[in-house]
Amino acid sequence: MNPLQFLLALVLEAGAAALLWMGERDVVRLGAYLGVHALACAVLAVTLYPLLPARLRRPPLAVLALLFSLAFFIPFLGLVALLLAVLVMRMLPVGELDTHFRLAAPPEFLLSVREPARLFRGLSIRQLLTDVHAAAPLRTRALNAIASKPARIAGDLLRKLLSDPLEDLRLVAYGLLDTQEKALRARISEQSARLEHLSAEPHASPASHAELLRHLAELNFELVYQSLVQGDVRDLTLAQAIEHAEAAIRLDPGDGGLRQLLARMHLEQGDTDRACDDLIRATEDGLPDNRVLPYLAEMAYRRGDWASVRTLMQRIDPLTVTPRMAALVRYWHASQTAGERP
Amino acid sequence: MSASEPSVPPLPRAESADIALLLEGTYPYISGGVSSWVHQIITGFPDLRFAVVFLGSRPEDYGPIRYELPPNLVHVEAHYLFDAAERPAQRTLRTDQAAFTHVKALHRYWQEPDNVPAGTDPQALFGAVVDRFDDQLGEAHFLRGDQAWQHLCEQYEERCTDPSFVDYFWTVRTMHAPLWKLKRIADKLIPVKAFHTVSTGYAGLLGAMCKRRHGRSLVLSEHGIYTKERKIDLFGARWIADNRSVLQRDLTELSYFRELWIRFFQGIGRACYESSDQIIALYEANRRRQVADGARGERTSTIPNGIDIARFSPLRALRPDAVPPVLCLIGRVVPIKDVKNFIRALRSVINQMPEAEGWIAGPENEDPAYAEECKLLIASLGLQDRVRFLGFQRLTELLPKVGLVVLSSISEALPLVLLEGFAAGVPAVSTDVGSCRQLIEGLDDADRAIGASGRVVGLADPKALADAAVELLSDPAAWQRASDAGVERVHRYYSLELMLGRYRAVYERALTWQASVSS
Repeated sequence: MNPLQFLLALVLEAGAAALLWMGERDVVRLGAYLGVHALACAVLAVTLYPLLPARLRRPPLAVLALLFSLAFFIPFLGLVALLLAVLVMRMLPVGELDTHFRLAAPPEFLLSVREPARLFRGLSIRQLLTDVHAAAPLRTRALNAIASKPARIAGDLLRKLLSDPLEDLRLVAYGLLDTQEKALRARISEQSARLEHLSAEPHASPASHAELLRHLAELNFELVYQSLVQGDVRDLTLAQAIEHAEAAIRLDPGDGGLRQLLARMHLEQGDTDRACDDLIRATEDGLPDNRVLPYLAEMAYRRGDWASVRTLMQRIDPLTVTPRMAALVRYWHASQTAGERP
Repeated sequence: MSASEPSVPPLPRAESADIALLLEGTYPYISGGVSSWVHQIITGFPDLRFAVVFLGSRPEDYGPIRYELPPNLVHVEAHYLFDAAERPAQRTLRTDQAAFTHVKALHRYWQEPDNVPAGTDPQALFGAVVDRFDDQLGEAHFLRGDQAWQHLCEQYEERCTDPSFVDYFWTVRTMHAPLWKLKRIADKLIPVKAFHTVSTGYAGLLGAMCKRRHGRSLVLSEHGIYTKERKIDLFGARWIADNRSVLQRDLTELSYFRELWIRFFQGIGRACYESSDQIIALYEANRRRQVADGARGERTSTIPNGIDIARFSPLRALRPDAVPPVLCLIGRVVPIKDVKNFIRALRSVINQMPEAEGWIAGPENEDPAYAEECKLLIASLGLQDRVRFLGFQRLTELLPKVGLVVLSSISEALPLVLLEGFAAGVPAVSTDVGSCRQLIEGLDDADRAIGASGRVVGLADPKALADAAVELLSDPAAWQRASDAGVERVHRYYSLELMLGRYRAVYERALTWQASVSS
């Protein structure tokens, strides 16, 4: 702000007031007062105008007219109020009003032109794929639909297709299974190479060693879990997974999660006693009950010990487990008659 | 397998020949079942002069010639379809609209072959397009022509379910690129009396173009079914883009570009079937497949492979008294042979028969990554000491040391190695693919009466494969019965003489077809 200009406006305003209050009160004096007052307001408007933020300075004539009017029609008070307003505006922090975001048009919702319900004529994919008399193109489409599913879900169906009379389906099913196994095998060989490299290093930390062993155990177990290996190869893969898991536990005995994984491997082997021991030790190592109880319940279920299943399931809080598990938990909570198979 | 040590002679050239063999990615640069068969055919007809047109992808993908070329192979030319080539000038061309309507009609026919206006002559449609490949529908018109661009845009809007026009554009370009090269090959080919292609695909399309250009008979002998094999490859190919969003994707549909490629090979396969005068499959199931893919039933027939029994019979006398506990997979180390299935089965076999060994006899250089995977699997199953990779082997030296020939493939046609093993007295265990069941258990009643010359098991079922192998290896009487049945069957149905006799009739028809037309 130019202080001289402001001082000039003040002096002019004071002069105008003096003209009005001192001497005769006639039209000429009133006219003179208005003239000097207008001059003071004009000086004030010109003085304040550059102090306004850029976005408030447009259009210039209208803004100048507004400043002038405020000062002119509210004599003296208008001048003081404008001065105060400008001072407050300068002192307070500048708020970011100019945002970079724009309002976008809502996206168009695209729908497939076909109705999904009509795709397989009301048949389930499983029915259609195993029906060797169904039309080949329809079965191919059904196979496309399960192609992206993990082997755990689609594996048995794909394996059935390996003996399908339709060679195309056979080959595609083979390709799908092979791709999934290949991906896991590649990771296993990569981790094995790292383990070999690490074993050769004299100063390798036991923690990184344990981590690699754990990873290898998980990958080998994944082959079994996804049903990608069968027969003797499955037994061997499971044995390797257990070997790696046990080696990792020897290096890091307090890892409850690893104990639980080992229990699952023993469970796959059908060795429920060892699986049970592993789970109890996993709890001792600090693994939460919710991660142990479902497996203990599964073992009790396999034994046909329904009372234990209920007792174990009732110890699980359905709000702390996955929705699928929660449904099971609620079922066993609701089940009343003890000692009977549901 | 009759390949010799690699040699690098200059390619023979001649002014003319009797039969031109049109071969895609096989003889004489690649060894394997089909190449051995081609070699058999050429050497089996010393009175005919053969020309070979080899079609490859790029020169660097192939090594030297793998066979000693027979003297009656008088002319060999090699062409590479995806070799870098010169491109026409970059300016827009005006294409004759009337000429382009033929392209549109041919596309419509290939898109929906069962739904074309009555009276459509597919041969005439194909001819109308191919005959203009040198001028009105030349390569420049495809690359820079106004009609081609307009048609491409229309097809994209009308049919493409993938949002990327750029990917669509380049897919169509790459797909069509070799067509004009094939036409130039057909135009410049030396005069021959008949054409013989061993697959559909690019070689089959070349056959159709040659027949159109030179007016000579075309014979098609398919070992596998090319279109089907391509379809399986394309189904699993990772290089094909799919740009559909979650909302656009229909789970039951392949990506549009995958479908486009499949339809392309179906289209050119159809052109080959429609142009061929004699269409030969190795066995009945494949013949039916050819008919389903567009071949006219009355032109089709089956001729099974045959082998030179005299070469293998003496090996029976060289066998040791006891059956060697050796399971041998003879074939290239490639995914289609499912060598991993064999390795997994070996784990079970060795659990039951610790003295057993697995041999893998075949080149490993065709898919080195797969060979590496197999070796990793061997290591992970603890079989390093029990499985040997022998590389390429002379069967006459190998077969006497082998107890069982094992075929663990996921796809085969009529594998010669089974027949060669039978002739040498070695039974086989094979997966139930192609004609393997026919070879092992017999085709008709008389054939089945001979008995099983081995065992047939399900696909990718290592346990069953292992059990069948152990059953034969641990029971000398059962092994001997299978061996005798194999010898009997190969003598009765699969001798080279039988096969050549049938092909002589095929060639005679092809050569007289020419005579009747020219007269």
